[in-house]
Amino acid sequence: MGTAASRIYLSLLFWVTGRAVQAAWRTDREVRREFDRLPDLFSFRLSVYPSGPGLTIMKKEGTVRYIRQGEEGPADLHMMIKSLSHGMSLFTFQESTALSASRGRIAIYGDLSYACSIVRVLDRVEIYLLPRVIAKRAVKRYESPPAKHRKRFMIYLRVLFSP
Amino acid sequence: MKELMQEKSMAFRIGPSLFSGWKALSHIPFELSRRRAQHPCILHRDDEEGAYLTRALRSCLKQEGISAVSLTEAMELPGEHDSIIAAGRGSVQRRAKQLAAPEIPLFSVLSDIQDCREAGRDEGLRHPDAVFIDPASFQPCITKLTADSALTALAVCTEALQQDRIHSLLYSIVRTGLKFLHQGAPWDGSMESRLCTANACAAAALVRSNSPPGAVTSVSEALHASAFCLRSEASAALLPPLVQAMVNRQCSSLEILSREIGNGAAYILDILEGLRKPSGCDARQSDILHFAFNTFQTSKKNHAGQILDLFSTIDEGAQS
Amino acid sequence: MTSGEFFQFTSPQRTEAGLQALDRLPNLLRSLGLSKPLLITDMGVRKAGLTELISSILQASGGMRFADEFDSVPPDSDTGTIADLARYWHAGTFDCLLALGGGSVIDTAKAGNILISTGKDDLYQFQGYDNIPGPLKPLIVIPTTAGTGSEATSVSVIKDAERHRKLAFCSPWLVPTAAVLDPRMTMTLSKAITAATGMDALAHAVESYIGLAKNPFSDSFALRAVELISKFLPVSLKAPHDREARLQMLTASHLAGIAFSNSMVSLVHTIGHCAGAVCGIPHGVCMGILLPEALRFNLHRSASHIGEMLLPLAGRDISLAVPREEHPERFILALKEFRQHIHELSENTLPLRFCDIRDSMDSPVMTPEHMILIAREAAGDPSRFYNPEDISEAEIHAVLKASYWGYSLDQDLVKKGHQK
Repeated sequence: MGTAASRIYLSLLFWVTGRAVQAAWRTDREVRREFDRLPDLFSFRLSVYPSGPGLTIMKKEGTVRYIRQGEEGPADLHMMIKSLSHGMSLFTFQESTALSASRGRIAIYGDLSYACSIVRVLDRVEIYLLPRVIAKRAVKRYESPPAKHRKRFMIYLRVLFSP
Repeated sequence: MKELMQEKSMAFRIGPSLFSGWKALSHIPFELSRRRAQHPCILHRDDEEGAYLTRALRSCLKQEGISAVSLTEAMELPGEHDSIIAAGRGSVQRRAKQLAAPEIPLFSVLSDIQDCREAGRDEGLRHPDAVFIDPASFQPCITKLTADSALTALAVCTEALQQDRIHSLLYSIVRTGLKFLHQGAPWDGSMESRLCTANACAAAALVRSNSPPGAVTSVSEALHASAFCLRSEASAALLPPLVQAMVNRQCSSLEILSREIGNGAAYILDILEGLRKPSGCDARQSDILHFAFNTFQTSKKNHAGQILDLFSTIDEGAQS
Repeated sequence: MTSGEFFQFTSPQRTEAGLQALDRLPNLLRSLGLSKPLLITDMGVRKAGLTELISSILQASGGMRFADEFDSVPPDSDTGTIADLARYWHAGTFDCLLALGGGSVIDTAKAGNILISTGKDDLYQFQGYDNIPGPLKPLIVIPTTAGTGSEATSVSVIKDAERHRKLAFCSPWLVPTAAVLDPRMTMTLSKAITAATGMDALAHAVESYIGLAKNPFSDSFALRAVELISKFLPVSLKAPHDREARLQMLTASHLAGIAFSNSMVSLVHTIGHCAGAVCGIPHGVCMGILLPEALRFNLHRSASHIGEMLLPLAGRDISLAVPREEHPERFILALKEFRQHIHELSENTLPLRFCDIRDSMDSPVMTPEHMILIAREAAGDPSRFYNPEDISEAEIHAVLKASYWGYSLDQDLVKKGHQK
């Protein structure tokens, strides 16, 4: 895939994932529990080095929101994928987040214990967003959440229509 | 437990970071920025291999938004560069090590064709800061040259085991090199096999940085320079008697290897046998021994001592 | 790992090792163009007379000396100590740091070096992975224990005194410039410390061999470390003044350090870090107790790797006598036997179960409430990234409980998830 196409693909995936995190926080108890561990006014960014596409999530006054590209400020925790092609490996689900991190393909700026929570959130969200056969490649351990299909439907609805 | 005792003192250094495998080249932009460099200059060989590596490298850098000047090794460096990426084997790497000031980041991009010096410190020169081995940059297969590199790596690793009290740090690198060579079989030109060779050569270069080359390596290089035969042909001829001599004198470093894998000597000779055919050096052993003996028996060159040592070990091997 | 998979391996430091390696310290400093080292150490090391020994070695070689000494590193160093160290540096004229001590001293020197080299006064902004601008000032390390391997690693962990959290820093720039391994520095260690630090080194080697970031280079270092530890930790305990054995243990710890700096540690450390923080149990003791059951938890994922360590730990005879498919289980058994042996040689100073660790009132140091807290805290320990299997709070609790009472973890308790 060419550079421009990769950037467009990743931008789309970041948009969907970012909004899905916001939706999953409303829908899934485990995701909510992970965000409860994080302090208020906590912001998290996942992006591609050096100025590639990315997503930003903010926890503010007890709610979790996806911040649109261009409106984000400095993040408390920034996970930087070291190159566009590593981003493609991650978001075409050839590598799980844990494997990508263990191959040194993600730099993490900020508190690593918060990064653990965020990776668990991303894994959980991928389980909702992706068919089982693909999600198995994307996460370290695949566990079906209770009422997965209903929640998946809710999350997709919220990704598409929630403000 | 005697064989585990180590020499009384040693200094050891690996040095470069090694990035190996698919998408290794994609790590270069971040590694440059980590060292505050943005304007690399690519130095490459003036041949097909150099052009191939450089094409892969430039396309990868372009994807990450980095443009780089590329020059052949014979050209002068431009003023406006803040890092050097040397692409290819042998002379281009030496040239880059000579040219790069100590504060300038120096990266090496290597393929499966190496002379087992590139990744390390070479004759007192600095080592690269990082080494990148990416199958995407490998030229379409030239099995003979790959096998030649593998045989050179085998000679370097085997000779390091000659030391009676090898240090565990050095042993670990030797062991890694041998493991790569063992995994590389059968030398069918597959990408896995070629990647194993490239990794083994990098490991061998680190071994060479920390242990002086032995007689097989020295003689092979001298024969290669005198255009009598390829380095690999000489190594293939000289290694079996050397290994036999190591077995005869119950070389303790070989015993450490044997404890891990059953029979250390057989393990090395297996790798060697696998490489004979693809390297095209299966018929000339006696010729090479004869030539080497006549040429170097009275050599007064700086490795004369080592050569005499080698022939005494070969004698031992032959007598047994 | 298969032969085509990507890996990266870094070990930039220079290592000087030998029975008299410290004698080459002056030359090492000269070759690096350094002459004004700031010594960083703690009172324990000073009291043991080790600073004097190094001072005399430097003096004997052309009158070199420490430019100054910072000897107030506490056993569990925190951000306050780091700030003090940075102020100390800026008040004097130094050209390098010389860390002499165990894990706390070395981690302090590494974290202090971040502030010193960047000129900043806030460590928080450098937390994370690959978040340190480099290169840093030269740091020479002389370890005085054979366990942490910190002289070879890219990691530093410091307690945040204000927020009561651990700050973790991981960057290749943190790897010290040089390490000097000299057995004179570890000869006076007690049996308890020798045993616990030896188990720490063993945990580093074993975990680096099963972690997600393992690679062929780190594998060789790890296997060699396991073999050296299995041979020389017992000798170091039987004959504490055997210099060769002490040197081999320093080497093993260094090898394990190089291995885990590249492949990172996993579950044993995930739980061990938190058990140490919550209950104050020494790190090496936690490692020894947790190793077998944490490995058992990972058996379904890493059986072949676990089995491959049987040969270096137990030797050729046992390895050949056991069918290959039984090697993983046999390794865990061999580990327990080895630990029992070390326990006896250390005159019972190495506890084998958490329930055996008692306070002055003879109450267990770890309570059921602690176990719940440890399991919760472990969710935020970054080493869990590298464990081959994901682990839930309940599973951590199960591993902890098995290690507390010393029984084998029920394999049915482990949710296996999908197999790779």
